Amino acid sequence: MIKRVDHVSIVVSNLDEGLKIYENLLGIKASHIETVADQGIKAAMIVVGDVEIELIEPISPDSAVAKFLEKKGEGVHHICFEVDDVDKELESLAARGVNLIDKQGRKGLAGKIAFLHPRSTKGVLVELAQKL
Amino acid sequence: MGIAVNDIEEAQRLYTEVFGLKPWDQGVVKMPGVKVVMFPLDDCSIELLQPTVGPEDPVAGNLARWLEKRGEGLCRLGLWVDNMEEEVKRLKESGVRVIESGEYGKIGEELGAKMAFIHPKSTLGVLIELDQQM
Repeated sequence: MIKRVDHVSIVVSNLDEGLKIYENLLGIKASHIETVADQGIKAAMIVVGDVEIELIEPISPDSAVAKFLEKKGEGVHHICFEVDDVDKELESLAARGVNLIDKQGRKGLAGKIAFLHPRSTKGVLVELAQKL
Repeated sequence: MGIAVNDIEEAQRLYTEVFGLKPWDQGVVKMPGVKVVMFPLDDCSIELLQPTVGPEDPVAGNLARWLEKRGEGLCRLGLWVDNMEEEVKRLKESGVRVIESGEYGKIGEELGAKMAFIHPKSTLGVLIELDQQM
């Protein structure tokens, strides 16, 4: 079951520039910045109330995020919902006909995570995250 | 979070039946230029939006233009603010492009909120909606 929105992710071509803009917009400083090598991204988190705004910049040209940026430009990239059990959720969504990008949960910034295919979600890239 | 869709009834079925989200009691609501259904989710809500006017509409056509250009998907991010006047003033002073219009004011009044938008040009491509509960 989907419990809450964990974060909303925005793809930017330059993280420093993106941070300057969003820290000013929100009036809040980023809580941390991290590089996720296996996803080919650098990410910064800004905590807004109970939800995080995540800015991501692709650092590897063949990453999925780099391709997204090239095709669609800067903007909202994905939304992440918190669930209790990622693998159980994936199984039940697949049974309901949802296309999965990740058949199993893997380690990500938000915990144990998996992505669903936008084809099944009205064009929205959805991430599920289980807190570890 | 706002999601632009072509067929709100079909999208509502998806988010209800597949994702198990529960829509607000009002169901699909017609507003000027747009049909809306909200799914409250903890402190947030997911909102499906289907334009009811074409891209040529000067006030509400931006959603249709979005769909035409980018297809269905996440189209806006809504944030609550405590004091709209102060926030809009602060943003404008720092060079941010804020859109306030009479039409949004009317929609807001129906929802019991003050509304304004931050132009995607000032946010690296994200349409941000500001709301103040009244």
